[in-house]
Amino acid sequence: MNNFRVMASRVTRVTHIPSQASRNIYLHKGPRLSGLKKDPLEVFTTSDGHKYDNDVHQNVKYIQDFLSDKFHIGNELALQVITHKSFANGIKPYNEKLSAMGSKILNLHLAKLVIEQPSKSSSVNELAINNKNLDVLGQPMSRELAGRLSLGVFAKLNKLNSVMFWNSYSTQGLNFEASGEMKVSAQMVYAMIGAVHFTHGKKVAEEFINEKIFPEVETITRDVVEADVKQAQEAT
Amino acid sequence: MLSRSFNILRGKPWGFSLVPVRTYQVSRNDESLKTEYDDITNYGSYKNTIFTHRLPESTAQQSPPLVALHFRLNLPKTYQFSTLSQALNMIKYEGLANNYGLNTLGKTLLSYYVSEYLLVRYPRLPMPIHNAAVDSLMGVESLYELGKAWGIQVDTTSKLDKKLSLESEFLQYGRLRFLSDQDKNQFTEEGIIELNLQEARTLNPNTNHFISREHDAYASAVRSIIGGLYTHCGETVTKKFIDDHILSRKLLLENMFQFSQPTRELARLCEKLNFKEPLQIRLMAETGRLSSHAIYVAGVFVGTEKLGEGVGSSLNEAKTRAVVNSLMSYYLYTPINEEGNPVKLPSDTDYKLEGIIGDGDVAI
Repeated sequence: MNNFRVMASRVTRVTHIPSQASRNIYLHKGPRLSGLKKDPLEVFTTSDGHKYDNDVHQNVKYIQDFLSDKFHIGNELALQVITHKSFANGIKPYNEKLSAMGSKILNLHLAKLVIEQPSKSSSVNELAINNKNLDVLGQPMSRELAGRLSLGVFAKLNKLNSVMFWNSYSTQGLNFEASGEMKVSAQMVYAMIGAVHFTHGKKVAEEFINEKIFPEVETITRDVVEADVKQAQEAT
Repeated sequence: MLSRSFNILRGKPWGFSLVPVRTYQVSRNDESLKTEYDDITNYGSYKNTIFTHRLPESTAQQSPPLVALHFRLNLPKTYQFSTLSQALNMIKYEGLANNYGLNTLGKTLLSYYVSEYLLVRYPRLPMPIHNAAVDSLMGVESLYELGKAWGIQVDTTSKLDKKLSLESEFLQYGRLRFLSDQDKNQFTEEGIIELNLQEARTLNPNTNHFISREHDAYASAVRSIIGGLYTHCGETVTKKFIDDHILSRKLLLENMFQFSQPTRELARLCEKLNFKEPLQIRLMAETGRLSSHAIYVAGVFVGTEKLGEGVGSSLNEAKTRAVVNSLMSYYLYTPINEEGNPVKLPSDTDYKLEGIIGDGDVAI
């Protein structure tokens, strides 16, 4: 290998290439072409014009405002929360692991919450074990509480997905669900819960779910499930 | 499909219109359980109205296999025998409450603690390996092995056989019940396996591997026992139990990796990690180049930092081994704290973030 280096330097000396010669790399814009380097300016900009390299405070503003001081996470982490795997071919830190964690703590906490809630009416389940009513698990309501539809809508309503770094299936005219926005937004909410969980621990993450997520998600889920039941009845 | 579309949200206060294209399936209830509730969000009022009851505690206490299992697992005294018996019952209609809810609860608890453990201890595992690791800790086959090791037995005798052989009625309450009387009486020929619909669905045509009902039942029993532990003894005890029985098992992570294009993957990884200097693979030592048993040692460098090295009997082998070793040492990294111990998990008391959070694998 050393031999190579010596040879290369000799060649340089013989041909007198000026040392200040600047290389001109062509940066490609538009659809991917094999072998061409894409222009980072285009790669790191979403279809709705948000730039990844912009001021990080600006990009993560919606997330940080929502989290408030009590559940504050670092800006770098918040940026990771709003970055999806599809963005720039996964070259920036993205939220897959965060959302894997977030969905697990959310599922666990909501399961505990629904089985432990005492009945608000006279109807009590005698099959409950140690006052924990397990018959509610697996029911549409308890399942959809942590479902993608509820959380996607939740993100939209709270404007959490206003700035999100991801790559849509299509930029033209697809709706909230079909464009993939619902799925990616839901994953972002999971990731946000995951980030709180990693930063502050399980106990605080559970408080976070109780305070900031559950009340509104419950209302959304109720609408979703009731509408679905109604639709099922109409179909039969 | 379209009729179950998600335009159900139309006209809701958030008011963005949704045209059905791809549809999200809202989960539906299992009608066979005849679940009733007063109000959809009154979770305490949900009730399955098929006629079932819980086994009386006094009856459960007289079942020798149940008592033995309770003691073998060293379950706390507060863990009721009737719940343990329910955890072993998968039959829906024969009058005794089944383990559906316990199983769901146990699965949720397991998923959380297993994921937490892997995500904190091995933050850089690529997602496919992470999933394989989750599966090897809490997949059906592993839980089946665990259930077997716990000494759970299957109830294989039909009602008639029980009557004829004067079998004590208490025995069945401590056994795993998932076979109907019809299944139990079915004549089976050795070497021939007949798959039912549920098993056929899990059949992998390439490997001929499927999840049998028995394995599934064992796994469900193990999950239900964990769920039952939560209902009686709370989460701290459950966490300890999962630690002892599930997370203590050795994970052969390094055997789970398979690289198709390691060099490309490493180059891409260096790009993701924003290394300023280029990646170089250099020959560090060699012996016997002209002999039939040459040995080469290659090293992977970024600037002056060595990422890994590998030994091989050809230049290419040494290079590939060096690259694979550097990738493995990156992916299998496990964070330690200042005292040199493994970092705390978020569910531990006095947790603070000491490790790192995985920022995703690279696409190649």
